Amino acid sequence: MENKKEESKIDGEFKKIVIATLEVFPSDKKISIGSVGEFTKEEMIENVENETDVGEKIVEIQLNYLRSFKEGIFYEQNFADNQT
Amino acid sequence: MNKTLLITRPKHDTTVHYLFYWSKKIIELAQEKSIKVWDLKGKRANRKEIEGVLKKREPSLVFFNGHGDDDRIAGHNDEALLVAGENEELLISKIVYALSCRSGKKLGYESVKKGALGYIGYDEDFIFFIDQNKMSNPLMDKTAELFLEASNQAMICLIKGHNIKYSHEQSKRIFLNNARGLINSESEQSYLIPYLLWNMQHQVCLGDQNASL
Repeated sequence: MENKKEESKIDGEFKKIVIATLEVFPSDKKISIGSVGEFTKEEMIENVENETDVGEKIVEIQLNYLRSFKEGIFYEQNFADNQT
Repeated sequence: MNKTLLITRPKHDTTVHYLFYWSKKIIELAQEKSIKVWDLKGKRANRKEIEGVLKKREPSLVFFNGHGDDDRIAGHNDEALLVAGENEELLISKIVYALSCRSGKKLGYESVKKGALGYIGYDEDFIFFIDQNKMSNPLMDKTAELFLEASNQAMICLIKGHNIKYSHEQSKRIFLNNARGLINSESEQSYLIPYLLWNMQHQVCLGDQNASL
């Protein structure tokens, strides 16, 4: 993965929001992103700030969540009822 | 076909170390159900051994744990075990669950084209969180549990004889329920919600939806 992008791909305001979200993460947790590796809160923030591929992935996940929430993901899912 | 499970469990880095331990629960369940288990763990999760078991033992169910990419699933030290265009035909007549990043994007489709009965996987990165205080004992990690319990549900259902569509939906349901639980309780772990939903939305179910053991 590239460490840094030359041009800003992330909307500045949204980047601030994502970083603010990450800042409340507990310090004793790490995110595992497949073969890319594991990242602490500080490393996640750094990746978003530097707009690396990892940072873009984190932003994409947050955007996806906001979009899904707006579309009612918690109310519209209709999976089979019985748990096995 | 005899009921046989092939499972790969590399253990060479933190992420697969977690999958190694959480997938052990699936082995125990399979054994309870009298399903023969081929457990290729650690260094044995290599291409030669996997190809040998797939050819000679013809397992009916295959559970991959490891890193991956669009066209591949990896094993010990990230050696490519299965690669689209190289050896995906080895999955013919098998049901597969790949707990692996992105292999549902290409390898899954190619496997089904070449005769795999069904393929549950992810078309994006599978993401989970780890409690650094629990890394030496992954099964005690309640944060990782929210993700890996939901993932395991697909295998639990398959082992119990449900079809791939139902197994896929039940796994997604657990991801969603775990996310809902964090919202409803105003949990300090609510930051995990976007990541639980991400995995749910990117789990794919390919092939004959009625395929079962």
